[in-house]
Amino acid sequence: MSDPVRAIGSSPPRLEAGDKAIGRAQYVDDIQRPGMLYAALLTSPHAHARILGYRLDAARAIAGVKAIVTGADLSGSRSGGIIKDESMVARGKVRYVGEIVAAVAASDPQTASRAATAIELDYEPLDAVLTIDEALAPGAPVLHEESASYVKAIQGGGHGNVVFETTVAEGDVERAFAQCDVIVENTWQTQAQHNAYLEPGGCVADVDASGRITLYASCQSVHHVQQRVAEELGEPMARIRAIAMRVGGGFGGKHASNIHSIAAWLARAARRPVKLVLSRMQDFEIQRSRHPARIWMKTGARRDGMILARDVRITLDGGAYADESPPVLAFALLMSRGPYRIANVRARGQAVYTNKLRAGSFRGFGNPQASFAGESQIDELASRLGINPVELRLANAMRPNDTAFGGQPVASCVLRECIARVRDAQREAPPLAPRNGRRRGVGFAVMSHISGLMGTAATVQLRTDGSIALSTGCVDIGQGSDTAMVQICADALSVPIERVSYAPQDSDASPYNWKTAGSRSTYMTGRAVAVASLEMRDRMLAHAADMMECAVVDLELRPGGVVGLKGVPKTVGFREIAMRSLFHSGGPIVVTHGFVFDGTGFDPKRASIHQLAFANLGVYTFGAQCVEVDVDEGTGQVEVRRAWCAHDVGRAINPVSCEGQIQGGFVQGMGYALVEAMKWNAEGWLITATLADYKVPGVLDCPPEIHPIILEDPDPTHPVGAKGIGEPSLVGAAPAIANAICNATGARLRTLPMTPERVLNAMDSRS
Amino acid sequence: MRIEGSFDIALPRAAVYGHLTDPGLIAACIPGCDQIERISPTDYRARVTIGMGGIKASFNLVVEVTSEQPPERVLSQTRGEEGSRASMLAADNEVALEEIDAANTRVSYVSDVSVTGRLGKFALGVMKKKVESLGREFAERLRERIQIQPAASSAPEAVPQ
Amino acid sequence: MSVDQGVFRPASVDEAVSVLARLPDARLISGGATLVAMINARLIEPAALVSLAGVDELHGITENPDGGWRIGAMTRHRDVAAERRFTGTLALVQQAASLIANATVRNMGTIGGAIAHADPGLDYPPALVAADAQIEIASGKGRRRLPASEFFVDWYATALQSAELVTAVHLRAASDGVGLYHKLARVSGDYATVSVALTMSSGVAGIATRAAMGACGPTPILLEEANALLSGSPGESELNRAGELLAAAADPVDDVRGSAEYRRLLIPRMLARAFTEARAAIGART
Repeated sequence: MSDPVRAIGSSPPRLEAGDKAIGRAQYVDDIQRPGMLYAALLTSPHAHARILGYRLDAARAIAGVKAIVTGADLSGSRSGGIIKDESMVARGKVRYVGEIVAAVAASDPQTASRAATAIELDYEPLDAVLTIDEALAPGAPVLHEESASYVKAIQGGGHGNVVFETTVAEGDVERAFAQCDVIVENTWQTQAQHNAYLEPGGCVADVDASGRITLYASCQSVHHVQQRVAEELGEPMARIRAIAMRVGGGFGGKHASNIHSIAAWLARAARRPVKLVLSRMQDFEIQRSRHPARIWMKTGARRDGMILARDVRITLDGGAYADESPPVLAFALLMSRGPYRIANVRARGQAVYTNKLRAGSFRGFGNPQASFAGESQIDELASRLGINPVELRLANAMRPNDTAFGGQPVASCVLRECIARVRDAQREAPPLAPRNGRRRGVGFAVMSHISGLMGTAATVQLRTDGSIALSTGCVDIGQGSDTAMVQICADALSVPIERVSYAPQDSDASPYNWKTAGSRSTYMTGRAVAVASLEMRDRMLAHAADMMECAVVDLELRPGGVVGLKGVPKTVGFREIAMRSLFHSGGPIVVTHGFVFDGTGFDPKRASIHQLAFANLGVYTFGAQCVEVDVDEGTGQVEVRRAWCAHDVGRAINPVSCEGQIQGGFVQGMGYALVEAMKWNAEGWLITATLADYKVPGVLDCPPEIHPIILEDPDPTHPVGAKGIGEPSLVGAAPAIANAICNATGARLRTLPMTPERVLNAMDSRS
Repeated sequence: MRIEGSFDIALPRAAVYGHLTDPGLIAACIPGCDQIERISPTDYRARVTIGMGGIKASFNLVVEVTSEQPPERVLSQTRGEEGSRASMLAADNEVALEEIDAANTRVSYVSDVSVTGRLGKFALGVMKKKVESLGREFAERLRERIQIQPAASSAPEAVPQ
Repeated sequence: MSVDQGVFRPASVDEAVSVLARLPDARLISGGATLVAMINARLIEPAALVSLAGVDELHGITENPDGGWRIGAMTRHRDVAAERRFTGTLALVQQAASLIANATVRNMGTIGGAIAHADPGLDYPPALVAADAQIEIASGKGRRRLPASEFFVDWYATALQSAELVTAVHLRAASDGVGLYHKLARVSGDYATVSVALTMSSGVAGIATRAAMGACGPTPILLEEANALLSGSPGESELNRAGELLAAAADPVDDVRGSAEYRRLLIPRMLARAFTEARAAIGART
């Protein structure tokens, strides 16, 4: 018998790649329904204003207008995530320029747009706060005066413009600093970054004769969309169905639903299907961004390089609504220690409301901000200590069976190997020729991240012909989870991946999944798929044992969907097992496995934690990155020439996909480091609301060499050992590049993005 | 965006102040202003068209004189929008007159202008240059007109840009 | 001439001019790369569009008997970028075209459309000014030609009068020398933060240089005084002085691409780099 086909560890092309390449993949905007209406939005021109009234007559009078919704139509409590402070269209007040104040459904897009513009609102403009300092100033205008009445799943904010505040601490920071020989202390600033997915947000809401609503959505979770729309429409979830289309990227930006309810409301009112697809400009103005942050950090070490203490204060600019600010802040604090053995750490944080677009979930989830400060500071500390920064990292790096900040045990940790691998790879690479007028520098950064969080499930079902139907609630937003899930299932059952079908996500049919977020799909949903598949294998073996009149222990799976008697050529096919279970005895073989992340949580004996948005996080992953940059002495422009990114993925289900995630994450991190920035003017208008003004690196801006280095240290809690790789690769880019710039020029950049102008100013201020 | 500038006029300060409060004269000096009317003792309505690179915008503006301190200073607010509210314009303006000598006056103007909406997203850096050049053009026209005209009519009201 | 849903399709320049004369609020559409984006952003709402696609004489690059070139206004950026016959001092025109935006835009956009739009961050204007190109303009009265340096007159403004259109760009025959276009931009394909276009040739009286700075004011900046400093046998002090003059003549904007101060700072630096590179290239050749 030949070796079993191992689907895991091979890199078949993505299941959907062909359709995407030739334009057959179906996205929301491809949907056409008979009688479909088009939605248009009216948005706020004020950063902060009270809504005094609406005049809808002119809009209603336009032929073809079928439904209008404004805040005056809404009642009941607000909706949202952890803090329910939002509504699908503004109610009572507007809190940022671009906030949706009304929506219209009409027979064609032009009519809808004309009608939306014809709606008039009376506003009483209020003073706005656009920065962290303005929001926290004494006597500052308050965005949410009624905060105390909001439904909140977590307390810890609500005074003034503070959304949420908390502290995580271990050891005794003050005493430890007294024992330090060297202490470094500084403040970093980071900017708002846009998720900049290819496909702007959108959905189509359809409604049947009974009034039941079906949403075809670009989203990161059908179950979340279903729940949010039901909540905002006051309908039972049974009356709302959400179906995921192909999603053209999310990066966290489609993590929370905020426009789907509008289409659903209009469809319900008009009794017609309604399409709502944001323009690129609207997507910039009304979706979300990465949190701008201000981070103060102080780190102290003994002369021998042992880091004893770190003190951190993180303030996040959360924009007008809480969205994911509480968990982003909590995660930033937990990541602010870095993957180091530092016994005394105190991390205090606040997220504040400002009159700008909400900040929310974005690949990295607070970690890029914390790591930019932390990993920059490690280099500064190394320089003060006179120790090589790589050696300083190696000496203080976490090791297997250490605990993470907050006290969670970490079983698998290959951080030191990651550091050594990138160090050696860079050293051994043939040096690039020096260039006139450019200064070359090398920089390192390390990071940890998690994969886990919340609940998920998978269902496998044996079909009549012995092939497998796999279903999960995990939406593939472009990262390749469809293919990975099929590979895990096929591997468990020793069948080729063509024998496994994968169902699109549909809240009517798919088993629950929280979200495509937190680098969790391969770890969480993949784990559910593996467990369910293995249980199905056992059920099939039991059938086979009956059929072959032998004991289960004497049976084995053979490649290609066959159960064989060990040592003998005698076999039973999956098809025969299916026939028996379906038509003779035992019943259909359908296995669902669901679980909620079950790792050990925070340790109250080690850590003092005021409030967090979650009980436990996930399993930890580690990585190290090294970059070589050229800094242009004349212009300050930074060019990343080469990068090496070593990441522990537990087990690479699809190595090519892992490499793609590492390279893509690094490039998005490079955009964050060097160029991407959302900017608002003094009136609170976003002035970078097009892709002409807001630039992301394109293929010509990518370093010619980004070397992914995959380390596989199987996670003991996952049947196949896999962990997530969606986010970590973004996290290291900014600090590694900052460290490389400093290595090249001596100039230390503490503000993102590190534009040529800032780099040149920093270089000039040194000379 | 903040627009400021100053220019000198060979006329006594009180005379310059008189001109500054003549709506017809001011309308004639504002580039692109094709009508101005008084709607209350302190409020004026004006239409101003500006163009750049094929983009044309016609604003219906209301100018409210918020403070008159003859012969030194006039404060005003300008609010307005394009038809269908595609763009909005708001400006806080101050015009100050300083006596250089009995026959010469320095006119200084400061305006905090914000343009929001469709035009507020286009070529912001250039937009500022455009508004600055409109300010200079206004100043030049005003100086030319005042210096060739006799002293102003007696209208006490003020209409800065 | 066909007319369909507000789009006129003239077959000749004269037809196009007559439509423009009749409908002053009509807009010419050549490649549409910028115009359509502006319509979509509701920045302009043309009464009608006049497509130049069917006007044969506007297409293509032809060599004149004297070695000069006529680039039809409808010539796409990609065709200029691929033009290997622009050698010597004219190489900068090809280089500028190859750095415009991205492949999609280069496949759509045309040289006539770009210069008529006259965005200060575009790549063609400084290159054409440095190359001392002539812009051919048609109106009801016939054709006229203007040096590129007189064609660009203000922010987004050209010497085009109403009912006039750009029909071609004329380049004089290449001199044996170097043409360079350097662009600093936030990412590949962005509008220039600052750009420099430079031609240099050598003769008995030393070198002859023309330099124009882009994205540093309403129009490309070219100063005869700076060119004189950069010609003959210039040393470091002449180079510095030329940079200072150009910086002083600049009127850059503050925007998302960079501050005015940064742009001013870069002018002498980018000039010096282009000059040094050109000089080295000339030296290598002679």
